[in-house]
Amino acid sequence: MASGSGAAAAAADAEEKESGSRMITLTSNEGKAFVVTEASARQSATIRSMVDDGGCVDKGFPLPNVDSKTLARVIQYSDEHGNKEPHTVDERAALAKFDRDFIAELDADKAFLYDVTMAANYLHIQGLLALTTQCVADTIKGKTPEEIRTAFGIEYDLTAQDEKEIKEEDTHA
Amino acid sequence: MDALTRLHRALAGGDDDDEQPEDSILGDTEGICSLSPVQRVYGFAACLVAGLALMILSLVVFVRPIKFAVMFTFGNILAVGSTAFLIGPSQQLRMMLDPVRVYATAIYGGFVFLALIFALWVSIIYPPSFSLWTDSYPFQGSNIDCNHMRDLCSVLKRVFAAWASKLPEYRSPKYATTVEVFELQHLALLASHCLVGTRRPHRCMGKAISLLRPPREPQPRESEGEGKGERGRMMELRKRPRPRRVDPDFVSSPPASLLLPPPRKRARRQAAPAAAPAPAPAPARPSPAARRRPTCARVIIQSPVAGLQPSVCCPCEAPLRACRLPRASFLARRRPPFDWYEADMWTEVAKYLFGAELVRLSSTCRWFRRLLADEFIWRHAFLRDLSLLPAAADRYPPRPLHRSWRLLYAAAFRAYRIGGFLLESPYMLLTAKLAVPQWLPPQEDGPQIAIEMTGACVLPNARPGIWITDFHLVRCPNCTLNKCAGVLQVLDARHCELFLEQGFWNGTWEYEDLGDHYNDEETPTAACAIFNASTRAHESISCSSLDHLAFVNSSSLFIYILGVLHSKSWVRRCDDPQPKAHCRPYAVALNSNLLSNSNQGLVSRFQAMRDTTGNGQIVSIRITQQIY
Repeated sequence: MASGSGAAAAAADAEEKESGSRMITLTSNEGKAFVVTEASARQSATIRSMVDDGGCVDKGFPLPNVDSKTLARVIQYSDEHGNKEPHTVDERAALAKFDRDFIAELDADKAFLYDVTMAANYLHIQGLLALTTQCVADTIKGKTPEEIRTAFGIEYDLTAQDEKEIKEEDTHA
Repeated sequence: MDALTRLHRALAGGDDDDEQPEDSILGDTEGICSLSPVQRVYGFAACLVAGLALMILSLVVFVRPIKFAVMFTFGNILAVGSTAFLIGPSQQLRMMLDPVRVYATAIYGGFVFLALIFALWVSIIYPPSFSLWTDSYPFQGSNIDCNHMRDLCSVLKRVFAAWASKLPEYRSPKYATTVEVFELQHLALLASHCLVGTRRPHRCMGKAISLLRPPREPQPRESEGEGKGERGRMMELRKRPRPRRVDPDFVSSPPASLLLPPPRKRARRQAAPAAAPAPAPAPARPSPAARRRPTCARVIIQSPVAGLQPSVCCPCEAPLRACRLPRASFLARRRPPFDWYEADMWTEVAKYLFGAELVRLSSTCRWFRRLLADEFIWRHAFLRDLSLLPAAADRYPPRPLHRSWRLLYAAAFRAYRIGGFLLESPYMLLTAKLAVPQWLPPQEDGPQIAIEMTGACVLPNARPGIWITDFHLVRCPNCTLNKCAGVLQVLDARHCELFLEQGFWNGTWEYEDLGDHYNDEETPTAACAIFNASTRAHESISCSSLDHLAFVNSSSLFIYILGVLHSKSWVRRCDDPQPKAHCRPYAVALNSNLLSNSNQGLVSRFQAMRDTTGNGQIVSIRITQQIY
């Protein structure tokens, strides 16, 4: 009896997985629900592991660390990457262009870029995380410490001793 | 998020749920505590020391139950309460009653209380001859008549009975009472571990509860039973919502005057620069900290977006420092106030930065300085810049690096490097030919013979680790031949830690000759290569049939070269005389095309440098090739 029901559940699971068209509900911290395809949601390692564990699929996933605006943008990315498998050169180029446009848009609004980065980190979307952190790194590249401070609004708080140490390290290195 | 970040995270000591209480640690205390941080620390220290002293003293008077229990109890209370000085009593209370800890707190508090009650009550009301595990029920006849007390007593009786059966000689009444009390305190301490161990509160608590629980009772915690569904819920529980900070900067910049009565300290800070030029209108409630140590350093980012508040972002003028709250610097892991400081994120960003950029970033402020001093960031940068990352991540280190990756990075990247390779075993193959030797003489004859005869040799005593390679073209100092173009081609491979050795920089370690190989035929190319000759390297290049001895076989070596080095990628077109080097995780090779009809051969000199202070391992190889 038990084994019979277990097998049936497994079969149902397999069927569901095969279909791949399950819809998954993600809820932002403002309570707004987003319905995405499973392929898209699987871009996130966090959600993927939860889906694979079999829990919470019907109830949806509450994402308390992500607000609606950020989540919408993250879903935009994962839809693009999750629902399409790039096979041809053209498709890959289209995807690369999407990434470029995506990050160029984010780059204009640093605070939002930060939010998206944190969401990607929280959801473990490796591709998006690489994209956004690379963008931040590019901002830093080729800048002097003064310029970095200006770019990120960092307050200068090094003491004279720190400065001395930095100078020593510089000469040492 | 890859392993590096996770490791870094783990070292930094935080899961998401760990960081939660820290968000507000020291954060909300200004209102409720009028003590200065220094006073708070003194209070904390005094309390803690007094508590510990009481606990130690209580062990001295172990045989007197009343004294013991009283001292031990108050010692415990003092020790636990001492942290209230640090974070404020209400915060302490809130943290102790946090859902994940409330059971632990209840158990702890309950036992501290019970221990006191038992010691006083049992010793005073009942004569010392009374023993808990006799069948007479302690509270019969007394006015305490509660059912749950009865249950608890039955549980305790089981515990003590089990204990007492092991120590029959201590069953004298006097010892018994003391020991009961002591057992209670022991349980209380166990529970206190639950209180402290927030990382896995449920597991610790489960332990404590299982001690208290008679086996027949149903499980109070049903998480094991429910399996996966419960796991999902647990995950939710562990990733509790971090309260989202609504930052006014992102929406708009409200006028400073609105922010002056500070609802939160960020807002006050926001107001500070605006108030700086004019004599500041005194804040409604000057924070007690504002008068103190202006030299305290704290990380502040006023705005994540430079463009939003250009006036604020001037790094040269120090904004009003007096308005900054001094932080208790004894907490190593204080959390920066602004979201833009997120160690995870910056660790990720740092993966894309080169050494010089890391140095520049770390000299912007103290927070970055501390973050970027992380060894793992430098290790990542080091391996990445040597193009070793995917291979090295799972294979290195074969032995731990005891020195700073940061120093190593700085020392190794003073000059341009073409790359690095990994050496897991001490076996290293040097060759100066593309025409592969048919066989190699046995190693016992030494490298010199092998080099002279075949132009290749296997060194059995190289130092395992990361080897860094580079090549130069050197003008030949003593060549007077007309045919000679006057250029030496040098391939250097050095163990990475060599760059940290004094003996390397001051020249006391010198190269010694391994041997020379003369090729007296006209050759189209000058090529040399250094291979990792371990068996694991073979496995990694999908030539599964190769074994260590196969090096003497020319065809397999040729496969090896092809497999490891992708010879297309390092041999230039035949009319290009520029040398080209190529590095793979298991080998490095250098090749230059020689101009035709201009040479009568090639001389290759093999040199090695030994670690003269250590065990004599070879730490550097140099192959010099010159047209003959």
